[in-house]
Amino acid sequence: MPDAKRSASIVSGTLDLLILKTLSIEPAHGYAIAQHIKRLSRDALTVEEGSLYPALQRMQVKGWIAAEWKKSPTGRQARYYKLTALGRRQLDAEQQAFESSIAAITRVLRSAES
Amino acid sequence: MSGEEQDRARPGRVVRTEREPVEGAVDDEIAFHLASRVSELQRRGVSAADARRLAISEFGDIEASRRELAAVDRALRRRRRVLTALDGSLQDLRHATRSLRRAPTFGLATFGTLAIGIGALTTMFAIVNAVLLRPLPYRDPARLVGAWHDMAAINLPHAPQAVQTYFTYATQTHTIEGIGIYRETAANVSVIGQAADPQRVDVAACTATLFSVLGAAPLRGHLITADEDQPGAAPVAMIGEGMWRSKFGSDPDIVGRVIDVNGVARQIIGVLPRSFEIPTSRIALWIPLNLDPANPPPTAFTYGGIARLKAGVSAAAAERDFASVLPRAATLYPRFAPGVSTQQILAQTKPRPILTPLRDDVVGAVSTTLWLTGAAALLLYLVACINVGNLALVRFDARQLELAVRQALGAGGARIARSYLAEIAIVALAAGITALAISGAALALLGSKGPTDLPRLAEVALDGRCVLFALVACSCAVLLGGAIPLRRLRRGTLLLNRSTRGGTAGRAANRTRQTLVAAQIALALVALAGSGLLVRSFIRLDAVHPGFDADRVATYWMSLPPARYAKDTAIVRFYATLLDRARALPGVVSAGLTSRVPLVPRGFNDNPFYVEGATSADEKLPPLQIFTTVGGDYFQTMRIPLLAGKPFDAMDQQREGDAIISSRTASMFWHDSTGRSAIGKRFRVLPTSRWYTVVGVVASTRDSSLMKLPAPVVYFPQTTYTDPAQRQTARTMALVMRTQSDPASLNSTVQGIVRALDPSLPLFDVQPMVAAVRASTARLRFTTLMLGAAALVTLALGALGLSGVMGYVVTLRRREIGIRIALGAAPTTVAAATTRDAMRVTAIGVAVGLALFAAAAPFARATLFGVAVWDPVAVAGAVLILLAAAMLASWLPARRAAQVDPAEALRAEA
Repeated sequence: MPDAKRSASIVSGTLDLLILKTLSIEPAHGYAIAQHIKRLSRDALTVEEGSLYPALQRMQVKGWIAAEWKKSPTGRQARYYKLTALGRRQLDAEQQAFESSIAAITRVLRSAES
Repeated sequence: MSGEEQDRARPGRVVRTEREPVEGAVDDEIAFHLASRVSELQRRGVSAADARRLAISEFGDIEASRRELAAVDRALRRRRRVLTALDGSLQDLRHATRSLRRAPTFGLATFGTLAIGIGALTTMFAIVNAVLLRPLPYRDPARLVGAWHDMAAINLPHAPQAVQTYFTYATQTHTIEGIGIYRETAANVSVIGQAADPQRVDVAACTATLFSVLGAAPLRGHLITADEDQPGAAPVAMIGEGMWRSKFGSDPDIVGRVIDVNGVARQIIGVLPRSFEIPTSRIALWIPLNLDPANPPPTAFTYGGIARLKAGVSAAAAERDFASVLPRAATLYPRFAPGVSTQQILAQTKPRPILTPLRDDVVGAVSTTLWLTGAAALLLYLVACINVGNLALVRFDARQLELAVRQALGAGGARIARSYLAEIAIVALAAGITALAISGAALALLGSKGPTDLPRLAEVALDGRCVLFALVACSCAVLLGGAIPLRRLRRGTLLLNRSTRGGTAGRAANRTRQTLVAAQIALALVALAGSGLLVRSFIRLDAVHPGFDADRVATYWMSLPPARYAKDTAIVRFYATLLDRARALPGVVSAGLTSRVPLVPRGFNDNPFYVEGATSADEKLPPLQIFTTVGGDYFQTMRIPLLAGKPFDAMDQQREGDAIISSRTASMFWHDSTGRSAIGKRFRVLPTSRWYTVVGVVASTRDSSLMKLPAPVVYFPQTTYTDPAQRQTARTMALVMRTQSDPASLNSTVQGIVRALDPSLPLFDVQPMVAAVRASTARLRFTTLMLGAAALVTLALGALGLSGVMGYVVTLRRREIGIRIALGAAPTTVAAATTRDAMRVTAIGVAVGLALFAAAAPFARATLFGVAVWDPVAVAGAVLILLAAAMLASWLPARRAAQVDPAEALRAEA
């Protein structure tokens, strides 16, 4: 198992995509978003919390997500984020762009091998 | 309040974030994150202290994150505030439109007043900005200067360049990047390959350096190159955009086509855009001068010059440089004219180089006219703004009850102010848009019907800057119109019972209103007195006797090109035949020829006059005279009286050597205005040339302008001359005819005579002499008309304001008037008392206006003719007109009020 410190940090720009993807499943608070990304990537990706919250706020300003304070299961007040319609469109767009760029990179790698 | 609650509170609005203290929210969120992490780690068996340390280190820089979060949060909140404010403004606007609909008179009056005021101001701004303020449309225009000479010794403060001085400056100075010269002339032009339709066009002959100095860009083709400007180069020409479009139908393959310019076939090498107005906007054709430094032509000081200063060099430094190299002209180019050395001419004229901003040369005398008209528009605008202030004040009083109710119900002062300003803002905005439409129409009219000699007319347009200006003018009107009532709103709370208090109107309200009216009267006085001065100037100018009789005289200009009329005898033969045929026409009283028509800016030729026996000629140039060539019965036709001696002989019998001088010349040299002592005296035109004998003396005429005293003129006969360097047979002349009836009826007949003599010869400036005289005063006429119109509108607006306010004051005082009448006062006495109040305000306004006028009037001095700045008729007239208007405006409502039934007035609530 790779050391947590040496796991890949998230390329800037893709963090937005990961957050949007996470929130497309259900509304969540910041901590849950970070855990979700880490778990789904089998600890390959760690979210630097220091950049998670600013990213959330920026996305709020852009109108992709909305926030409200709610009681969490543990009983404490937590800020829950949810995807807006605009955010859903943004997710589709970013996902498409990401996939096509991955495909392009893969093509380059393959051709370099052959 | 949470986001959801807010959404519920304001349906239809999307609020994406909650409202709460920023820092707190950030801290809470981070704290929640850390707590969640700690409890999870503890569940995995990590000790509490370690879990906390691990969570914090995983999080990274908490402080930085907090700062960033807080910044984003603040941006969010700011945006929300703007949205809320916008929402409030929308409400204000809705409210304002509703309340305006209830008071259409206020809205319409404000709208009309502002539309006129802003429209006039914006129009003038568009013109002043394009003509006077905007940089010239050439590369780095701040470094372009007009190169002239101050020849104080012979009273010429703005003398031009000579070829010798030009080459000296071009090769010897080190403070300029280059210098170019030009000379304005005119030519008969026809397009080769098109049906013969010769035209007279204005031409600039210039050096190739003129274009490189200006850094102009051609529309098509290329600029005149140094090679094309060499002596003996193949003849080329550049044409202006106007000619390209009209004569060549915007032919894209224009380059390479050939035009006939004065009988010379010239190849067109390029097209210059309309915005290229060097030397003037009239020029349609540019041709190279082809100067030869080894053999300069004897053309003396006849060229305009333009230089480009090197970067960082001041005009004063360049002037010193020019002055220091000028003496070298004497050795570099020693020959100035036949028998005259450059050394000699420099000693006699003592030229001092002066470099002036090129803009002054381009804009010229029109700037005074524009500034004056602009000032009149500004006065109009200010009076309009004050009118709006007055109207707003009246409206404010009318709404006082409503506003007081709103205040009592808890509306803040700012809120009331905003809703009130919104009302004026809506009207002002509508007025501003209308004003832009008015300006657009006015500018279009100026382009098609305005004075054609307005420089940079092509650049005048209603651009973004004008729209911005109109917007600023709108905002100023809103502030001016709204500020005064608002000041009162701030001063104290509104009184609910104010409207029922009755009795007399508030003292403070009245004082504000009276101040406004006084200011309006002061501004109107300045406008009225100013235009009064111009009207008086114009009347004076109209009464000036020009020294000739323009009535029923027609002029027809033509120019015989050297290519086809090489010999002097051919020229004389042509004109003698023309004169004979013109004289023979039925209805022609007499006919003559002249190389220069008085008051027409064409054919001016200033030369020195060396009197026989005078000694001073060597060190000082004698005073310049206007040399004119005449033939036939010119003096008789123009009714210029012969004071002494005899007229010239018939053209084909006249011999060289005779001259006729004006009485001004006679008194200048022989101190005898009757001219008798000048007869038989001799003079010459160059120190070494042949002698001419004075055979006659005629009365002086006003030559360059009706405003200027007659200049000294020397007339030579149209005949052949032996030495063309000294005197030439005139090629360009006007046929001048006195007719029994309307001179225009003979135009086609004269055209036919000229066609018969030479079908390729264009006639130009065909006009009655009366029209020529009128044209010479066109600018003053235009200025007078514009200022007069502005003054009348200003007066009308001022009177409207005054009557509106007086009417309102009387309405407020109806109760008081009623009481007085009930107590036995005569209605007329009461009315007179009210009028007296108005007159006191008017008197104050007049006094302030006179002070303003005293400060402003000297700027108009250059435009005036024959009247002092403090002309009593104009100033007293303006004061009287204002007093009469004020009297009328206050007497009518006062009178009406005094006639009401006192009982009714007492019952009615004031």
